[in-house]
Amino acid sequence: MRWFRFAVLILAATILQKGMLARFGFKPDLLLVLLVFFAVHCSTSEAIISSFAIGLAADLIGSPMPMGPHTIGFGVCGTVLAHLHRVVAIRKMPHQALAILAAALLAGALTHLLAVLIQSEPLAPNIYSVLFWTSVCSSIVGPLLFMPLAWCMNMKINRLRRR
Amino acid sequence: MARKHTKVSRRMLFTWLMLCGFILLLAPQNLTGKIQLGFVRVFRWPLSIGGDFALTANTQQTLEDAVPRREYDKLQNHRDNLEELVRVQREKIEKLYGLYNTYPWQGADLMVADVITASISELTVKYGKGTGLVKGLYVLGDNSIIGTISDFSSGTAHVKLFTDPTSKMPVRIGKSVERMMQGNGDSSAKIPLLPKVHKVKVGDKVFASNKKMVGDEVFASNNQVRFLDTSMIVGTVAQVKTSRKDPLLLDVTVRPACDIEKLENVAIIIINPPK
Repeated sequence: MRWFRFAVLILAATILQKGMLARFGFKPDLLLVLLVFFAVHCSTSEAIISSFAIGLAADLIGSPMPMGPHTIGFGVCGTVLAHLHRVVAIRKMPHQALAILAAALLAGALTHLLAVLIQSEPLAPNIYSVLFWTSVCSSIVGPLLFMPLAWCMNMKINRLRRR
Repeated sequence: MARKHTKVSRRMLFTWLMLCGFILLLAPQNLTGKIQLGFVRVFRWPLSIGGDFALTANTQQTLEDAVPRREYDKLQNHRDNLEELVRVQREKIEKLYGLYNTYPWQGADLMVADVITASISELTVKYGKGTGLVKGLYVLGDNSIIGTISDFSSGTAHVKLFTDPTSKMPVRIGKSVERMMQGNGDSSAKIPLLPKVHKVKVGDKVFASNKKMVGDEVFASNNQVRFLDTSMIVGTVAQVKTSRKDPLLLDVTVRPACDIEKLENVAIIIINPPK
């Protein structure tokens, strides 16, 4: 794993998500796509570290939600996905889309649950529709980004590896 | 000398990182809020560039001889505000004729701030040097109220828009209907459970109220919210429909008076600025 490239990629995705995509109503969650990518294509230890790091990046731009829920939500979700990938291969595009959809729903639900339970943040009335459409957008866009991401990280994603 | 390689098990790694996450979660919110604002301040240049790209992509070209829609809305809001101001002044003069009367904006100051990032529920703005900024101050965009200051750090502030689902604002529809407005989360807000006796129709102007809502626990317990000296336009009534909860009540949908997503700068109303 090239950690410097990883850091630059996460920073770029964070800025893109907060700067450009924030103005659109329904948008893909780029950080979540990265979470699934690294959970599927890295070793389990690397996947755990990268999941928490991506969660921290999501927390930095997660205002008005306080920091913490994304770190935990993404960390748990990425770890579960990395362990799942040791049993089930996620190589085909439909499978990747499904994995992103499931990860987005799980991470989103966990994040909002933590924010409501621990930080007593009020729950937005339209949270379910926002969560659903963000997950759908991410699952459509995500698999298309896997190839350029692999090129950026200099990874070979076509060979089957289970760790 | 060979470097010693320490191997940490996956379980330990996960536990330590989870612990870090929980420390972050339980840390004081004003502290973590400053970290979020600090990130935006450090990367404000690429963030605003990205926002400009999105704006360019969203903006449609207009004819040269036509007034841009945004400019028209801005002037329209200004006219509505002036009309409202004149009406309030006239009422005051009628009631308090002969007594001392202060100009509504006498004790207020406007601080211009540039928009760094914009989303459906929040703006992040960069303001210049100035004092008197506190949470709850009203923010103007194109001469209409768009929200309140929710958090601020040196030079950067978050503006919670009135369309945010967790936002509540006292408003007045037309001349007399005072109610609490809540954000919908989809570039609109709603005034729920309004009795049908109030003749509210589509196109009615909605103003940010300058009165404290009696009996509303949000405003009764929140001293952070500052009240305007005069009413200012927030939006217009876009939809009026019968409430699902009670057929004798109405749910009113309010659209912002300006295109919030296309704002490039805003003005923060500082009530009673320090001398």
